[in-house]
Amino acid sequence: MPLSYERYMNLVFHLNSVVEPVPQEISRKIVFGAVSPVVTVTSNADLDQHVQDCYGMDSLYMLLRHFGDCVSDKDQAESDEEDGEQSHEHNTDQSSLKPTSTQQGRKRTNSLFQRSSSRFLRFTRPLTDLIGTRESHDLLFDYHSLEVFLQHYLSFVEQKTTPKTPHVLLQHSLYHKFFTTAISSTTHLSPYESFNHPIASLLALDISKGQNYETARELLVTFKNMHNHTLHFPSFININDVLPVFLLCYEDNSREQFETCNSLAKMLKKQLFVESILLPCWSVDKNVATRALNQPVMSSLEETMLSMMKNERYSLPLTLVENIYDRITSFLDELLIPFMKRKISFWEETILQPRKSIFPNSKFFRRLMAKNPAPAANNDSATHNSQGLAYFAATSNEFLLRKLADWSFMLSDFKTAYSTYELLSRDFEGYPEYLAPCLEWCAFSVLMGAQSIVTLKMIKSDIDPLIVRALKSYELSANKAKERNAIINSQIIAATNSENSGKASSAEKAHSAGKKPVGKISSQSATALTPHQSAQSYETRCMLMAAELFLSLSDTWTATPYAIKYLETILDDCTIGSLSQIVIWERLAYCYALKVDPRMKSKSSSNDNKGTEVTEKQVDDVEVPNDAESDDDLQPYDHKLEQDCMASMGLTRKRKSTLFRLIAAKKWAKARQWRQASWSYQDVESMYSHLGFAQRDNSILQRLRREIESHES
Amino acid sequence: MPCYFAIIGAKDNPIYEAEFTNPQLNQFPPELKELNPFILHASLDILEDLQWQAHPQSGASTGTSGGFLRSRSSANNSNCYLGKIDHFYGLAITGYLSYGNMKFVMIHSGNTNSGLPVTIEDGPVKSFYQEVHELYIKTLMNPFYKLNEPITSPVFDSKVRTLAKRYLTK
Amino acid sequence: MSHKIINPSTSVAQHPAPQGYDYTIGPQQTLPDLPQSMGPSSASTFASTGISTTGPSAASAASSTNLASGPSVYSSSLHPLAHTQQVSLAAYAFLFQEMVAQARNASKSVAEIELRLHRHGYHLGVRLLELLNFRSSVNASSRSAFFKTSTAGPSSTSATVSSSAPSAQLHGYHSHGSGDAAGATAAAAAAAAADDGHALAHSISHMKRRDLTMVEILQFVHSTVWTYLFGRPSDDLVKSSDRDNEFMIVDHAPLLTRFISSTNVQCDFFVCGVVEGVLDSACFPCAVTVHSVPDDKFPEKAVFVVRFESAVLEREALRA
Repeated sequence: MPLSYERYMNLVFHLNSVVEPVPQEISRKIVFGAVSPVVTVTSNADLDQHVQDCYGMDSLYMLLRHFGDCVSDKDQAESDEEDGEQSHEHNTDQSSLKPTSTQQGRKRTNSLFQRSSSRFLRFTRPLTDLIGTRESHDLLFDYHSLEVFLQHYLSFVEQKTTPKTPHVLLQHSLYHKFFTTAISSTTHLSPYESFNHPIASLLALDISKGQNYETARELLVTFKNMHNHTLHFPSFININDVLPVFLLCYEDNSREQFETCNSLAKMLKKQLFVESILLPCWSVDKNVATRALNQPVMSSLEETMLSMMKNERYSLPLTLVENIYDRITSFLDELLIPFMKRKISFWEETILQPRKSIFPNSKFFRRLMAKNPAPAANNDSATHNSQGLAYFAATSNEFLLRKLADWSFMLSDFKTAYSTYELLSRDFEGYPEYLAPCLEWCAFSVLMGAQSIVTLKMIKSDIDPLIVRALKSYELSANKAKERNAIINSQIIAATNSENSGKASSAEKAHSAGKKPVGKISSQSATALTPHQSAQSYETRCMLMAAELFLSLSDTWTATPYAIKYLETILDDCTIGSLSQIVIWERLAYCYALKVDPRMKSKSSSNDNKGTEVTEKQVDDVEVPNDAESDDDLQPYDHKLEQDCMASMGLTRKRKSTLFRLIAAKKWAKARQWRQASWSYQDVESMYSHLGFAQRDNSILQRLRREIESHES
Repeated sequence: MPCYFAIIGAKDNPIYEAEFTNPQLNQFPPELKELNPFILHASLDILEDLQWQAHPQSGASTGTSGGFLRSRSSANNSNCYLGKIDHFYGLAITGYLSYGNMKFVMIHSGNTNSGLPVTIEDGPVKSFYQEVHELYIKTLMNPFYKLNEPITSPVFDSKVRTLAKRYLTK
Repeated sequence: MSHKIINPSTSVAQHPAPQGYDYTIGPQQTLPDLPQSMGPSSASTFASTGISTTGPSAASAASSTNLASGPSVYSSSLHPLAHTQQVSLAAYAFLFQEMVAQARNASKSVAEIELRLHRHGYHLGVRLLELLNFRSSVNASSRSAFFKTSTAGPSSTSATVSSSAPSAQLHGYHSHGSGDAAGATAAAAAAAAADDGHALAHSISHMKRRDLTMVEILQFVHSTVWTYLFGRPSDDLVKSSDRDNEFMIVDHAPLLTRFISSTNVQCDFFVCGVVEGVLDSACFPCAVTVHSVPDDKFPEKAVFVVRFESAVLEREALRA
């Protein structure tokens, strides 16, 4: 059985799997996980206290968040027994035990693109919390904290491994960790896309504490009136588009509580029209098998950092883990997905269909329509916030269409997603902030949906231009934001004293130069800067994802140049930390390694160990002349030129790949990440081993070797 | 503009290397200098790709680079001089193949101050390669020289440098 | 033949001058023999010292006199007319006989003799590929220019290049063995020009194409190489009907073995070596064997069978 998604993403906890191949379609799974439906968990004080008492976690949310990601894998329930101890002691012989124990597990949904519905989920804090923290960080990701995260993660990896640990998969895992964190490190609610907007909300009740219908009703009322009571409730969220579901927690072996739950569930459905899930959350028996929980793959950077700092892993009873997975699966299948489908078809009928008939697919009409009524309509539905930004309200047709597309994407209906994004992109012409993500996801839905039939022509004429246009729009919106900032800044300057304004403008200047000293920013400019930065971070995300999706295409020869292009652009233009840069250098090396002519693929496997073969040959060569000298060339054809494989000449980019890995190794060494440096060096070594120039005493390779040797081993 | 020139043998081994720099004005920064042989080595992938293309100069599928910045002079049928084959962060790399498929490659660096990409003047560079090619054949005419072995002759070295001076410095 | 005994003349040991390339150290920096400043100022420096910068020959001649005490390979011309075009058949046969005899004396078996001959040929082939292609690039116009510019000069330095090579001087055979007067003067003139270090490449506008397919490169062997070695193209070039990777070069009367009657040892293995050398260094790895196929008309008819490695076929399929 192949390595599961979550296991791979937490590979450093599962060191017995490090020799397995990279899971198939991993990048697509990550993208899928990154846009999976968001479910908020609303709990109450009693319940949270109960959770804390029983399982040592702060709240119900803290418990449930471990069960997000690829729900259908039920990964945490499946992990075998050794795995629990794995975190404390890891010996290599466990790898032999592993296959037998996973064999009996259920079949994994590896082909998640068989048009089946999404099986990924993300849990977040209650919506009110999300809104409360929204304004302070408007970024998709903050490269500084990303850097800190990488630093921590790397030192963690270093603790867990030795230079001799097989590192190939670990390095991939590291990149994907970085990738995941970069593309979805926040629960930030963007006005321009709806991926992070909650789709369902779990309202939890603790039956064992005697909470009843009244509590439930109160919770629901609070939930439904949230937009009236919450300060700064964003206009782009419609509470009516969020599905409330009650979660009734009861004691496992109490028949009585189970009965109570059942009757309460019926009542809630009848009177409040809300479904419930029954979860046997509490168990009296303390001596059951437990499972250590992984950190969820898709969680915000702050939360990941927090748990990383604490460095603790929670364990739950196995029965509870299985119960939770069962409930979540049924919640997904019976409530969430049907709800999304209902909404989608409703929007399709009410918005999409009428539009399609008004705008028939003829150019003439479109031009005609675009001239007059469309802009007027747009102006009507756009509302403005305090900073003068145009927002489409949650009920506007534009935003509903966007939501329709996003949700279709989540449910792997890439065809609908694509056509809707395309339709929308015409509406958004005047709004670069909206246009950019729209184009971006338009391209992604092709890349995700048409994985095997993407041709060079499609990439050239369709996908790449879309991404380029998206990037341009991001740039445009960044510039727009910059201009706005300039205005706001000048207002600040007018308002505050000269010292402060000097600081702000210097920060602004430094920023435009591409290097922003984080510490220097004064509080005023911090808020003023964000929209601009925000667009930039989205731009980076767009390029990262595009690169990764290009790499996942089957024809790597045609697709890798595009991936390389975007990664290089990130290195050149985007503000990211130095560790992130090294990770991208490594990825570039991988891209080049993937650039193999499809016709050579069958051969490449046999050529993989060419490096070592060559060295062996070299050894022979050194010995042969001595013999030959003595009995005067008995070796047949020793004068013949040696040649490498003729056919594959020029159809791979192995040397390029090695160069980039070498550069990465050099940079790792510079960043004093010796474990990573030595791993990269090991990859590089075999390629250069037979080349005289690399063996020179003053060559970079030898210098690296000495440096690494002095720090490792 | 500093250049780094190498002749690469069949086994990726350089049989001759030279740096054409001016000690006062333009040198390779030390960071780059040590990477130079590796950058050239990496370009061999693309060189080998072009090596077997019937029309290497018009080849669109030359990977991430190449393709553009080729002048019209390359419209003729010749496939020894390949023009700009690769680039690496502001450096341009040109290539030339001898009939015995010795790879003549060179890194051209622009002015270190201006971050502009280097433009290659195909004419002089091509002449340089052709004359070095001739020198190489003369070396090969020496019966004691073995194919793929380093060319250690100081005469060769000085002649190559004279050529570099004539064609590559501006 | 004896290149294992004699130290290579190109090695550093014989030239203590530090300018040569040393592969253990890496590239030398800067441009020696040049003023430190570049650009227009350098031109003026040259002008002031009385050396014209536009005359490359002067500069290179100066440097070569500094570095090399005697004539070196670099001071001879590669021009086809720079050296005597023809060798008498007698000398040709004598040299070949000596080579065979040497191989015979040093070997224990027939196969070893053949291998030795093969090796001699191989080294020749590797050089011929580069040289003959380069010469073909020197087009007609530059050839006439060559005659015009050549003046009388010392002819003593001619023919140093190939005379030291055991086999590189096996030029074409003509029935009137001694060169005619015109040829001799041309050779002398060419040698004079060559002494100047005149670079032929300078006048080449288009280099000849490299051969990319099996047929192209075989045609080069069949015509150019054969003409250079034996004064005429080979008699036939045939593709095997059975195997895709097999080609045959037919010679009705091999020149080299004309005076060798014994068929114990296939002395044509020397030619196999040449062909293999050409093809191998052009990146068409192959094995060449020779078979004598006497028929009524041509009792000495020999067939050279070229078997390319499968990778060559594969490459051609990929690049088609």
